[in-house]
Amino acid sequence: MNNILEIRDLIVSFASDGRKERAVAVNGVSLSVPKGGIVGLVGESGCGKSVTSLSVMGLLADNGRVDSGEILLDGEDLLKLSDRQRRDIRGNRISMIFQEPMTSLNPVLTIGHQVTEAIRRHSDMDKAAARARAIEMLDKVGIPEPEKRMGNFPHQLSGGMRQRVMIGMGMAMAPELLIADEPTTALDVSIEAQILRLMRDLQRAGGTSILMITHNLGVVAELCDEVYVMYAGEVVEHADVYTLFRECAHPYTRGLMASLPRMTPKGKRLYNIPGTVPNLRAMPQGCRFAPRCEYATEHCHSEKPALKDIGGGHLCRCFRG
Amino acid sequence: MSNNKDARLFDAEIQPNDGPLASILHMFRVNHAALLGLILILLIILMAIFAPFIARYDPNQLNLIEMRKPPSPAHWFGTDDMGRDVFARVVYGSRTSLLIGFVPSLISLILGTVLGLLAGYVGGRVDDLIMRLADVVLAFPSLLLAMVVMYTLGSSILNMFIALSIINWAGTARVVRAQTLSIKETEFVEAARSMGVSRLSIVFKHILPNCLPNLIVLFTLDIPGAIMWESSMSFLGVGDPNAASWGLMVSQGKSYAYMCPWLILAPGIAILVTVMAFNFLGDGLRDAMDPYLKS
Repeated sequence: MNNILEIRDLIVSFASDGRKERAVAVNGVSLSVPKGGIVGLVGESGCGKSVTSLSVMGLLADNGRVDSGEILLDGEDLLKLSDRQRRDIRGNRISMIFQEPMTSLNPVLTIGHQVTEAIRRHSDMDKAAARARAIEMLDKVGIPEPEKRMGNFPHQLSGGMRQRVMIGMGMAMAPELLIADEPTTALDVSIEAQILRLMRDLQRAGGTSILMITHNLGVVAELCDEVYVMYAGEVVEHADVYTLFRECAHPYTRGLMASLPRMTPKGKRLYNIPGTVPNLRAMPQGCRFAPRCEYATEHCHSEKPALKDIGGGHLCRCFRG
Repeated sequence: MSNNKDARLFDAEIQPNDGPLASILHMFRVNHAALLGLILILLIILMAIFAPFIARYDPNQLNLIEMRKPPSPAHWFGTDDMGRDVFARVVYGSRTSLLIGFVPSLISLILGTVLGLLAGYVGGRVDDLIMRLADVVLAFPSLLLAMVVMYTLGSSILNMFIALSIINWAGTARVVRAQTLSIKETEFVEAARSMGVSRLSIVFKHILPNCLPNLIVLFTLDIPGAIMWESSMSFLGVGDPNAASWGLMVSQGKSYAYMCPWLILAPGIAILVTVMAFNFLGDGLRDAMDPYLKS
């Protein structure tokens, strides 16, 4: 097995408002994270990227359900495991870092308590050993005076420091896979660069693979080896990061690229993709991006394009190819 | 609230690096009513512990020669219709009142917290069952419910604990359930779940500590409530007739209210002071411990 994580044809749906038909948030997504690799999962809000990651964690909300598909962690299907077995995997073999460092730590428990709890949950270490390990982790993620910080409450740390704590907590058990759900969205740009560098350093040192969920193409370019672009619950394009930035094929990906603010040319309006993401309950019949696509033809509106290889493992879901 | 200005003052002066204890200490410096409440409560507790050293008479010693004497150097608060020393009875009565204040409040606090956590975290049918039960308790007139319990089980201090616990748990359960519902959706609970923390640990280690400030406030406000309930029930004649309680003293003194006002004034003022002391302290703690005001 070369892939630490392999998702095959994942379909996730949600029940809501007492309606009979379920809203399909993730529709047949396949993706894989190679061992030691950093893979980006990009898309707008509501495209299903967070739902995909929560399915991997087994943390879908009560009204959500994986309808079909496989989620293989190092070849083992997570969906076939019991709740208990999945809990043993969470925080141990797979960890997750959340978007909001301000609210991801329990405000009434000390940093030390929370990091130590995470360590003791998955190891036989006694209190003293777990504490020593926690201090070591805080030191590793670049927190000054880690011993003193152990006794601090979350509100006494800055956002960047808290995200470092979260990363330290996530990396404490040296997980095989780290899922980072927009870990830098809530941080300053300068802190963002530090956090990204920290994640890459830890990944290189510990051999952890990372699934990076983001809507920030800058983060992707900075950190990732390969990228999946999601739109409306489906993967629309997949390529290694160089190919994607050099010659992205899908009109949606192009739209995302064009929406990035640039210094030149001056005085031009920033491009934005017209329209909005379609409603989960009212998906277009043909290509899901067709209503917003400037190249859309009759064909696009009536028939749905398949995800096909357009050369060298570069996948694209578009008739134009 | 009278201490709005105080609260603002205290927010501005608090350092971000101070712990919860520091903010409580600061609250006592600014909020003098709460400090007074704390001092009074400590005095009442000391009075209850050292009652034999404070009162010169046995509270139950009858003395038919010294009946209904007005306050004097020998009997500071006078004597009642059986010649018992009112001061001694007030001092010893603090034991009953504190016991009645603390024990049922603690029982209903624990009961209400566990049921509230269960209802909020598990949800579904468990939630429905617990909350409908709470609705029934809350919809029923509390005093009537407590009296029914006392009549059925008999008049004793233990049954008083049971009666007061039954009428008090529902309020606590509601507050805890509401907080659990909102806390279980927070990112830090999701983060804890993503670390593989078990449900039991999430409920007791992550959610419960977040409810704690409210619970402490609820507890300090439940205590005077329980003291009042006990007084009311003793006054109505369903209390424990053998316990020297302030409510019972008011009840027994009411026939002589015009002739011997000290009979109801002394225990009445004792009830008033105790209840107010706990209320002041509870209000102060609420201001100091509300973690969401600060962030």
